[in-house]
Amino acid sequence: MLFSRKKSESHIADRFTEIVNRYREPIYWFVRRQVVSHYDADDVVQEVFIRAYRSLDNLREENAVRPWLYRIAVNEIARFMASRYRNEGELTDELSHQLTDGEYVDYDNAMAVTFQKALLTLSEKQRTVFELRYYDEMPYEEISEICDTSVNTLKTTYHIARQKVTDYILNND
Amino acid sequence: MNRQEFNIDNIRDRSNPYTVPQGYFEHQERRILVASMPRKGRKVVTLLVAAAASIAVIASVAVFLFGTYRNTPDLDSYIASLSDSELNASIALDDLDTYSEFMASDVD
Repeated sequence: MLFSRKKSESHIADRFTEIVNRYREPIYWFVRRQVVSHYDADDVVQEVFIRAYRSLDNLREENAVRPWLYRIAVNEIARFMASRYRNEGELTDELSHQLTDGEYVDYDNAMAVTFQKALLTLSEKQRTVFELRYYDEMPYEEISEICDTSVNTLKTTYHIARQKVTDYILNND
Repeated sequence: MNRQEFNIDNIRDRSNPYTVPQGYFEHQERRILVASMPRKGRKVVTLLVAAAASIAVIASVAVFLFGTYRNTPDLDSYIASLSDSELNASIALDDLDTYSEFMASDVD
């Protein structure tokens, strides 16, 4: 029993290491684009993988890893935002300020800064859907698992988000 | 630039202004693994602390019980510790019906 338990712990550790190795960068960027600050992103990503490790036993299928992990990330971002900011207005103001005057931002790339400012004008839901579709290029069915929203609603949300981003960039070019 | 010409899909690769500290991703994996997975050392420490606490509780109970036993004098030792008058009084009490008789009795 001791041997089988050790073998099981070793298997879990190997599996988790593989997940970390494969998803740490995409998860980081997914989080970073939403919380803006590198330091905050680093903290949130740590929490994502801590929670992932603790719930690894719940993961049954290998092809369910990505939506499972991103769902944890979405929840951790929401938790972080709720703990840091009192309301949506304060959140948007603070994130915009960090984007305009923060560390680890390439201000020589003015178009990219404008693009990220456009994302900050989106609602939390719109931003999440946009990030997953635009940057992570996830199929709607997978986003549906993450956001617990119907595919049709996601398509509408993404379309609206794209319009808002496009309008912002064209008006602030 | 007009709306017809502009397509955000064409600027995806150039739309991220964020950077990271040098070497961040090289060390990120190890930091995540260390923070996420419990180290074996922590498990050992937890077990040792639990064992020490259990031993302390058992020892306290044992000391209490042993101390109680030691403080309870045996009869022979008690009798040996009595003076003659105390001994006579004790024997006399067995023969008296009431305490008042004992107080009135001429026992020194």
